[in-house]
Amino acid sequence: MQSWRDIFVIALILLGALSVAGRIVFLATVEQEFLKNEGDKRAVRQESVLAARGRILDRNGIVLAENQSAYSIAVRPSRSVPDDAQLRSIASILKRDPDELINRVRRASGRDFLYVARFVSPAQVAKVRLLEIDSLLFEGTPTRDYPLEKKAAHVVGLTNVDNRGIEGAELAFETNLSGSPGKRYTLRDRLGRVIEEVEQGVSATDGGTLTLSIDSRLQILAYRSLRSVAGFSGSSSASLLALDPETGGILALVNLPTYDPYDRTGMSPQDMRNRSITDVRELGRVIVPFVILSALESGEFQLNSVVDTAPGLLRVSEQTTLSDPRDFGRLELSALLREQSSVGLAKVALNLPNNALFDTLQKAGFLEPTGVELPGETSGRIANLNLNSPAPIESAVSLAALANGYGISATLLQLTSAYSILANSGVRVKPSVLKSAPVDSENVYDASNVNSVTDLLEISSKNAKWRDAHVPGLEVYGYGGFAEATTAGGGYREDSGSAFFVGFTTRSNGQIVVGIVLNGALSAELVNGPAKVFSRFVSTAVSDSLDQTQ
Amino acid sequence: MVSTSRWRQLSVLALPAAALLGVLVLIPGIGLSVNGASRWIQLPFLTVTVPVVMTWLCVIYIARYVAKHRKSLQTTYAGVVRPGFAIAAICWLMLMQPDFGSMFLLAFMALLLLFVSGARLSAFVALIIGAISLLAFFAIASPYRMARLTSYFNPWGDPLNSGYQLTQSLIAFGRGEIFGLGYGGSIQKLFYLPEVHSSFVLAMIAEETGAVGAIALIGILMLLVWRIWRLGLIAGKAGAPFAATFAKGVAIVIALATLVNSFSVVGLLPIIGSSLPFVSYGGTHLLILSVMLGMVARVELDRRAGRLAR
Repeated sequence: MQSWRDIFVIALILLGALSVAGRIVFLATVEQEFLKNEGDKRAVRQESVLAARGRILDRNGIVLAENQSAYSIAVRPSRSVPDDAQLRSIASILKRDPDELINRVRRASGRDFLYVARFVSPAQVAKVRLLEIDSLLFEGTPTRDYPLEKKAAHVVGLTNVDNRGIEGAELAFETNLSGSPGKRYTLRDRLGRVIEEVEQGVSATDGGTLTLSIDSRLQILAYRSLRSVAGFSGSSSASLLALDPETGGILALVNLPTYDPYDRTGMSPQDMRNRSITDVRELGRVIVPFVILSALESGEFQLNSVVDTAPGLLRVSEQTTLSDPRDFGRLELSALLREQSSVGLAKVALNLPNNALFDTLQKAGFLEPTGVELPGETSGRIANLNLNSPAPIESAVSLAALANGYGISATLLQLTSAYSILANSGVRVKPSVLKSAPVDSENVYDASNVNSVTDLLEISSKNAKWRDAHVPGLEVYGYGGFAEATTAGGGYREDSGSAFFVGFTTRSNGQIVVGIVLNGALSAELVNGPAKVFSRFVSTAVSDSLDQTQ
Repeated sequence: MVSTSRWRQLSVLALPAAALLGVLVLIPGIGLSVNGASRWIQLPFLTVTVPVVMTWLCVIYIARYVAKHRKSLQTTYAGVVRPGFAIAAICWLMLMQPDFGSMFLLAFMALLLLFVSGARLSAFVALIIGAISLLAFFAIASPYRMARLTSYFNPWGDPLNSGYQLTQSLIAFGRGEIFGLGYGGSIQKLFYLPEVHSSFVLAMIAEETGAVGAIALIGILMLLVWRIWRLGLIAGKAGAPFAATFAKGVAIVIALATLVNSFSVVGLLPIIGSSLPFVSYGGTHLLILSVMLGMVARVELDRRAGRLAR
């Protein structure tokens, strides 16, 4: 009996089934985009993919900085924390103060997250893991490995906790090194666990490799040479800078005190300062070769021009009288360099056309930063300068002082760079810390004048003044001087100052210009220190490289 | 082996048994209470979901009633109202548990079954009006049911609380598109969609096999419903009203459960926590459905043997 009632109920059920089917099709087509989007909002998370930071290499491809993984150890105090005994074990592995750690964890009670330690080495983490403490979280953090450690800290620099450069080349070339982070989209379950990576991500662009002009071998030698002498010279700080005069490439750069890039707690801003480019000091007699050069450039003097320094006194103004330690009498221009007669140098300066000395010093680069890529570079200055006047140094006193190195200050980089013009036959090259920097050069002095001055700078075992700089078996040139420290009031301290020496080798011997400064209390060790450093550094550096080429 | 005629003899116990179960499950110590609902009786080897059993017993009861009181059902008010009251009493026991979903299914099933068995139309209409007003009252009287209702009207209004399940379910249908994400491709089952193994299993199937899979599944269940219904028609022609009514009752139970579940999963009905027959997780459910299918199969067996009792 198939009644209308059967048909009615069956039709009703069929209608219901068709409604469901229709609704499902509607959801799967018309509503699909909205629903999928809503679903993705809940399940798909965007996260950034860290770009690997670029390596820093020296000129020979030796690694100066590269990535490594350090670990952070953390706890979630709101869930559970290790007990005191466990914390003590952790502290002993990490060489931290156990009581401080216990207190810190206690104070954080209730907080969601606390770092127990950051920048823990993989080896230490392995030991901590062996303790099998469930409440500890281990998190890998990208960080940097600096194989030369404090020996190259001022050049290479370092990164902060976020792996961004904050010092040295790491800071200067941050954009190149950091690359750009990518994005990835992950599908997560409701508990936040990653199920899979979904498409459409942007891959990270890793940072580029940076090749510095630094030579690791010379850098290490420079550090050792400087430290061995600086130690017993009583200096409070010291710097050594080695340049390739032809390209301007910085081969080695060392400052003492330096810092350990791994020991973040022990770092002080004083130690982190790259003194050779940030610290400006009065130069003193180390600029004398430029006074002689200026005299030659002016055409008013020849090497054998005679300057009468008798009687060893020169009244420059009402208040100012220069004096020599003794009466040098009549000196040839070339002898002024050796005798350092204040009177003679002042007389030369006063007899030059009135902008000649300024011109020579400006061409040497003493008035502006060299433009090296490293952060924090400053520039020295010449005192009492009036750039609007045709004669920028107007007073005779200033001119006489300047000829003796007073009233002119510079960074070690500026000084070394100026001497590299002498080594380079009058061509000035912009210093750079990059191996492949385009050579930016300009011929500023007459080559024959420069070579005349250079000849005077040759150092032999008999050269009484800079005998300490002599390098047996090698032709070296150089000059130095001691400058008393200036005081805040504009006067001078007689008991302390800076001892300079800048020297260079010949082109046939793999030319290199080395500038050294030791700062500290005045003593014979301090004054002679830079020349000793030079000799020690150059003898090893050049003889090793000669061995290598043979 | 229990023949259809044996079932018919035993059917006298159906209503009292349903009532007894309905009362027992409410007694603390016998009934198991989870999340404020006492729907289960713990036996040594299994936990029985009582409402499912009660529904089955009610189908047997109505089949018996129709077979015995056909004349008065078709002609008198009393003939319609009497089973109406019996079922209403069982419904009330279910509401005490409380299990609104099962009660709704039971009431709806009973109405359809009485209707298809030829209940007097005027009396039947009165019964429907009474049933609908009662359902509406109970729905509105309880805040959590009301929340389910309002969230059904606008699930995206509060997708993190009351609308959460429905929105996640709809998302599953959207993600599945026409052909699905493939086996294991469901995201919603990764803890986003609660009850994914029971009430919302259709959403997960839609996500993994697409609209095609979900519709095919419903189609298969509807085919089953139709086959059972046809058996009921044949039994009716063979002059076996108990068998005929029981078969149609089983068909209605399966059809209603399928439709109510899929309606709520796709957002056409408020969520009442029903399950999809033969697919949703649930031991008692599957067991009772299998028992029902077994009884229906026996009807066909008896018919072929010419032993279908009058």
